[in-house]
Amino acid sequence: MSRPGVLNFGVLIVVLVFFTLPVALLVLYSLNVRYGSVPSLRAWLYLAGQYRTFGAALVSSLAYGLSAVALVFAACVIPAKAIARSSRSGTAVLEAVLLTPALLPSITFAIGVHQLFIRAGLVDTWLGVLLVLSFVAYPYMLRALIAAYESIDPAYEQCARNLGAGMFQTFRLVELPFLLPGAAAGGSVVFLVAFSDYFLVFLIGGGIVPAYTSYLVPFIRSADYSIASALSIVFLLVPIALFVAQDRLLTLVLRGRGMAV
Amino acid sequence: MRRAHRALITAVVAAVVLAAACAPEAEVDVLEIEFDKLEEQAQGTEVRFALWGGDARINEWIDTYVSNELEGRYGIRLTRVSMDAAQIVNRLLSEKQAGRERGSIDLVWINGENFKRARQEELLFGPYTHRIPNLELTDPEEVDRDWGFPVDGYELPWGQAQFVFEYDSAEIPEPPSTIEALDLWIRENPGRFTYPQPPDFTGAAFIRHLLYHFSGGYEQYLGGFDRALYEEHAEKLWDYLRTIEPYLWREGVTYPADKAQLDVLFERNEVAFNMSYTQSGAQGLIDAGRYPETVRTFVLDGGTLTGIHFTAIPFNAPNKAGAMVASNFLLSPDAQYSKNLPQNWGDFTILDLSRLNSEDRRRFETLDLGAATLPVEVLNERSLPEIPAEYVDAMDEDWEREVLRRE
Repeated sequence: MSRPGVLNFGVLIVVLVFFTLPVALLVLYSLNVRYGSVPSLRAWLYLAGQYRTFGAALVSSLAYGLSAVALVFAACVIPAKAIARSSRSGTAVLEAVLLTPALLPSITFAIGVHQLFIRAGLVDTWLGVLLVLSFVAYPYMLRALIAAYESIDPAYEQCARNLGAGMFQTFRLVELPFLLPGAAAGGSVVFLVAFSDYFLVFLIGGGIVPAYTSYLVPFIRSADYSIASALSIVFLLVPIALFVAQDRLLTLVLRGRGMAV
Repeated sequence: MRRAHRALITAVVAAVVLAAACAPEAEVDVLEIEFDKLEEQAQGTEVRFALWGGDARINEWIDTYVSNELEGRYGIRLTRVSMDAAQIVNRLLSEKQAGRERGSIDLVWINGENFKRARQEELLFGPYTHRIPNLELTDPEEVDRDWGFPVDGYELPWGQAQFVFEYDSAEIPEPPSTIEALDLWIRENPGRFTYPQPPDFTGAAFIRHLLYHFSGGYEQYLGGFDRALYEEHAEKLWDYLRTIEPYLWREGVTYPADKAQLDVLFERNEVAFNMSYTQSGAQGLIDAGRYPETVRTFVLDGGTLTGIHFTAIPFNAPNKAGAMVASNFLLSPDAQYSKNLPQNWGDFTILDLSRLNSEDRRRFETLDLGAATLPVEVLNERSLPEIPAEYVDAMDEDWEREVLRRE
């Protein structure tokens, strides 16, 4: 076996041990397969019976997760471009300021935001949850888009403008295709941050805005491992399914534009 | 265009004026009007009920039985919000600070130190329970205090729980029935006993039994918090807990962080005893297939703690009428009976059976609590009251310093 072959094999083993085993364990737990207990479908039947609340929680989390991706993308495009294209020293400061949400401990930030949002009537609302998550996840998209813009030659844009394209047309037809892979990477992180957040969603959503994490956490805290495991499996499957879908979609779009991937 | 604008402005102004005019009026009404009028007012509204969401059976009971009955009987839509009592109190506190007059929770499940804190910070609506018809089915002397703190009409009794120990009768035929016997058992079976570390609710309740035992009974604590008395007696408790430590699970170097972890240790048979503040919880877990059929419960000859839990309405509940109607239903013989069934929840009724009509009384008297639940007479004979919440707070605070960190 060649050296890279050995290396790959090693990586495979590590992935198997650290990823597959815990998931296999979750599946067993969810079916109540444990020493001294009778295997049962109780956890899955409970969730099936709870499809209304469980489904609402899942759909709501998916919705604010995906909306956060869209909102953050829209709010990042212009600053990312400005930072990528500018060589003035001031932009470093601007970039640092825009990245602070990732550095701030979320609990410090949350208490202040909570009071502010109560006054603004945004607590317990879906919009409030979306805003707070978008703020926290903002830096991840910004970094990704700055990197993407840095790799686009400004000459492409000039060309398009010289040929008579307007600003939006240039953005849509020239910049966007180049940004897509970066946006997809940044968007994945934004989605994960938003979808898996418990603390902020619970604080701002107040348990009123349905959320998958608010549904899951009480079970993790209780001793009901079967239901907690079943919920965790679903929690894991959602992002995986989305990544697969995103990957397919991206390939299709870029192929359609004649950009090999 | 212009006309449309004007119409819009008029509509907005009208809506604001209307909202302003209606809100305070509804507020006064709920304590004045007859209960059947209140039921009419609650018709078609939504009630948001915040309660701890970590028990699938309780959740299911609320989501099915309670929810369906409220819809069918009163046209009330019930929304369950998963949030434990301490979280609710914190949340109401921030809402109060920020001046949020119209909150989003209508009814909460609460008792003990959380109720006391909520009352002291004026986070609850009331007094209102004198307007709730089913309160008359309870014994006023039994439900006028919550862990020694006066209820004063700010919370409505909902259920009654008693502390029990759980064990597997296939392994231990005769469980220890006194604290001395339990002490002996622990020393003879090192590593097979532990308790959740306070301030876990159940663990804190366990050590209160020891406080009562080593200091000559609970009576002396009922008069209110006395720091000198506490300091004098708590020392005996800490002494004992330190002596017993080497015989505990993992030699007492660590403790289960909460009741849930002790449940897991017991289910895996790492420890021989579990403890629970629900008398028939074990039967429910047997029925759900999580405990072996041979699990049974016992109480101490000297008695175990019995506590009442309540529902209350936040100061800024948007639908107080709906909350009052819903909580009245929760206290009705029908709902209390359904809650008492071990398959549903197994939480004991707080109704005074002598105040019920004969048919309802018979329903409760013939209730099948399952083999793992002790007979009601045994539980009633061996019940101890809770003491003022300050003692509990003080013990929660000191346990870590006196037991966990001390060698």
